[in-house]
Amino acid sequence: MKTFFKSKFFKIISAIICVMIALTLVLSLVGSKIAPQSAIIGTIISPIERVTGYVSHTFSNFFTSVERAKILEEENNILREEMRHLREKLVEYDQYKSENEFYSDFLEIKKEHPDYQFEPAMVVSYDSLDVYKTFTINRGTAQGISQFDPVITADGLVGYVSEAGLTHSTVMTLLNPNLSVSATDNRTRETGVVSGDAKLVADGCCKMSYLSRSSAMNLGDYVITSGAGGVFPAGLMVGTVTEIGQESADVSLYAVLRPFVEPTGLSDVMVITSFEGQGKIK
Amino acid sequence: MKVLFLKRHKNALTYLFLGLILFILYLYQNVNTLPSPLGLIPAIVVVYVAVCGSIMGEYVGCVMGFMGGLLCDVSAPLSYCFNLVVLTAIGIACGFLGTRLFTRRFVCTLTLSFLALVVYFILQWLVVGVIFGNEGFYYLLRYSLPSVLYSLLYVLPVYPLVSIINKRIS
Repeated sequence: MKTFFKSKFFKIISAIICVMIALTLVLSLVGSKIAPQSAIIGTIISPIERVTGYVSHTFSNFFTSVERAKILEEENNILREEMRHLREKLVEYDQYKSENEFYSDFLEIKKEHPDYQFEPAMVVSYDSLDVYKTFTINRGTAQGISQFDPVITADGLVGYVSEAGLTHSTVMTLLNPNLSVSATDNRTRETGVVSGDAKLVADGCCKMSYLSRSSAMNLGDYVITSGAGGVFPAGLMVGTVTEIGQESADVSLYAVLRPFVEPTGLSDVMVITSFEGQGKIK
Repeated sequence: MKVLFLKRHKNALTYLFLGLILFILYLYQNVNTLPSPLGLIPAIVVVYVAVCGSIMGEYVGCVMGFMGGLLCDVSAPLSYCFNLVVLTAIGIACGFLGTRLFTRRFVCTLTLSFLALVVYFILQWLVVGVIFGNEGFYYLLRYSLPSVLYSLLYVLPVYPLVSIINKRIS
């Protein structure tokens, strides 16, 4: 031990350390906050530190990303679950919104016709093979629906219930030739019978027949139900006149109507289960 | 000629090689990507100086302590040559004790490294935390002493490395 402390080597090292301490203290008294040897070495090694820092951070980031993969997967699952819940809520919200809009439209009709008894129904399927757009609704006799009940939307008449099951019903639309609606021109009060026509169904139109030769109907006139026959209440919007022509079989005129309600793409309808004058022939 | 050159400059080459490893370890310690459980940071350079001293003796310990101290002072928050003095002293002390008092090399290195780390962290706490700072015992118990144990883990990779170099040289 004595040999080491007496050695030249130790003396040199000690002297260097003493000089450095002295320099540091002197410079700190002057106001320098960094020791001179640290400043010199720091200047030399800082570029190397920068490079190694960059390399190590790159590696570290890689390994961290691998480590975090599991955590991210868990987080992802939680977020997926949350998203599923939110999606469900959004669907519910949209459903409520559309229902709200649907009912608010009918509120006006209900105010105008307090005698109407409505049963809301959802269109569950269309008969894809039927060109007259017959569809099925999710309400039946269990909900008070019976055959020949008028089916409407806020825009006007759709058709009637052709068959009523216990929990579902089939609705025949205005485009169907088997459906006849007693109707009247809103302006001229001329009456006729509206029904579907195979020639017109491709254009989504129906036909109003039995108009007198001296009919004053014009293009653009609105046609509404007359209430005759007791199947449909009076005043339901049917369609607008797009063409007037003469029947080939007799001398009467006919009008081509574009229904206010296009039967394709319906989602919600209202069935009128009861109204004043139902079943009575006017 | 090559053999002659190596024989003549054996000491210089040893110091150069050990210094290079020291520098790499210093960089490794300072890149901030080491795992730091509970906020603890390992003092690898201190471990390396202690291991070098305990295996290779006081001369190597002194030089490594000196070089390590110089490097550590660069990044130290307070550079009044604290690391320079303490690490040089640790290197010399480990060199003396390791080569004279202990017989079982690994246990010796581990014990000396532990003592060196305890001394280093307590002095650091006293100088940086108490005299020039505002840290109480909480800092010592929460960070300094647990860091001793954490740093001690680095003896496991550093010891074989220095042993191999030592065997090659001798």
